[in-house]
Amino acid sequence: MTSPTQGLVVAALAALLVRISLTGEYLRFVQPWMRWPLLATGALLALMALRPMLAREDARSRVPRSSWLILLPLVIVFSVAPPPLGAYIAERRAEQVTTPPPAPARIPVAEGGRPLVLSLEEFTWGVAQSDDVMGLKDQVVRLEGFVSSDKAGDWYVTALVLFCCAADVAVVRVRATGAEAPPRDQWVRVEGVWDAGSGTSASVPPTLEVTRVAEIDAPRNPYS
Amino acid sequence: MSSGPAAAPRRPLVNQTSVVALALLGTILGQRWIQPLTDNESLRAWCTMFVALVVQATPFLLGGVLLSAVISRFLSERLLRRVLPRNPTLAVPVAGIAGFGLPGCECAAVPVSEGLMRRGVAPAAALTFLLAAPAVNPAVIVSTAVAFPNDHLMVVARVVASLTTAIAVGWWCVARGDALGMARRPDAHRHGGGLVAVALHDFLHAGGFLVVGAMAAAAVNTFVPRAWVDSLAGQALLGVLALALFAFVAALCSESDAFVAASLTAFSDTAKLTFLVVGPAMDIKLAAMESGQFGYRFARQFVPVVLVVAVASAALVGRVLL
Repeated sequence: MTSPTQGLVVAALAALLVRISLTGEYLRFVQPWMRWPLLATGALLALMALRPMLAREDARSRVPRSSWLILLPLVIVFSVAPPPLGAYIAERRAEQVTTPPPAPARIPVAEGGRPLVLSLEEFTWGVAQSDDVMGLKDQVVRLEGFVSSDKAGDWYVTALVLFCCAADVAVVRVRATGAEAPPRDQWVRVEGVWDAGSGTSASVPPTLEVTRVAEIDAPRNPYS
Repeated sequence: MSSGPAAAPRRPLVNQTSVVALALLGTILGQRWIQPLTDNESLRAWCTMFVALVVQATPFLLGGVLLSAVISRFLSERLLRRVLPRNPTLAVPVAGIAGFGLPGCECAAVPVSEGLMRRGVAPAAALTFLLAAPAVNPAVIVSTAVAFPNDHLMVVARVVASLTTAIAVGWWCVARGDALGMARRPDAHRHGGGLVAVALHDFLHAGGFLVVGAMAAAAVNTFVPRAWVDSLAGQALLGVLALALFAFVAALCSESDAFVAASLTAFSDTAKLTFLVVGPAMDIKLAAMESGQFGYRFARQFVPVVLVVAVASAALVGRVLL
């Protein structure tokens, strides 16, 4: 690899990092706090690539052949435009044994006649509590997530929880009954009542008797 | 330095850089026609995971190569002498303890350990640092404590077993001596490169191997059903080995692997500990980067030894503490 080509390879990676952090695409891959580190890394790499890019074409320094592969992420982002992970991964990982989600920092409690707005993690945590601290029994709750299904033909309101990067997502899902399944991967807002007693053990997801389903736009951050 | 086109005699019309630049331009302009060709769910999921692994690691890798360049240029050998005992056997445990001080993931540790060797640190001590830093740094300790809120012994066990692994492998390296067959790359400083040129060269070198590792890890995370792993949870010994293998092939960040370990509830605590000890010490991404950095002959010995020592130390510590 000649020196200008080395500069170009690094500049291509820099351009990718700057692009995804400016457009918000980075949220498909990593956690929200990574935005500024990615931008800074992109800017720094671009500065470092400047001098070799301006060097003479016959200037060389040895790098292994695998360095060519640094171009691959850029090529993939432009040619495949990888979407956020969704139903495909959720269905493949759904059968793994999972631990109940951690307790929310502030426990939302039902009050009045209005629907209780919960994240899927809060809801699955709440139904697993034997004392029903959230007051979920007979309470209308409102949840958001994307649609996934299983082999039996049931459908689920689903979220993917991201710990570090998209390679380590875990699945949180709630089985929906009483309504026709929306298209797979479609984001939905559902209202319904917990089928009391379901989801109390971590290995079986809770069931929601759905009364309303609305299709919504996918959120900016596709993971929770 | 560059010179204008007039100064370069008979510059060829077609050169490497322009071919690469044209190919990239073609990909960017042609995306409208290429994208429909790749409409396959599993391929797209692989692409998302692969790009995610590379994007997540790049800032840490850049930090690592910059720190490495700074170490090899500015850290005085006198200071290093004062901190590190000259005898490699004594330097190994000190280097292991020093691992508490670098809050980075394993991608940063590879170039930093190479930088330490360039500065004259005994290879065995630098390798101990490489094994210890990603496993026992403060960020990892905190995330492990958060992932195991009711089980503080897991944090202690992880630190003890990881440190034991790093030091034991370090001493093995001292004993092997020159038989390790470590391929040292020619020092880039000799080619008159400045700090930035050295860092960029290191980045290209390690980055390529990082991409290779990320490709393999993304494939495992996309295509291997987690149910295969879970099916071995019942057996004590097989469970330990299954999670050791899983840690090797999944190549998760050491700062997040505790959350994944906590979700493997079907496994024994010792098996989970094995997952936490093996992952930061050795995985598919690190094996690729290390064979790039130190040579294939070295990696062929080093990788299996680290795996065996890590599993043994986790099993032992798990038996005593958990």
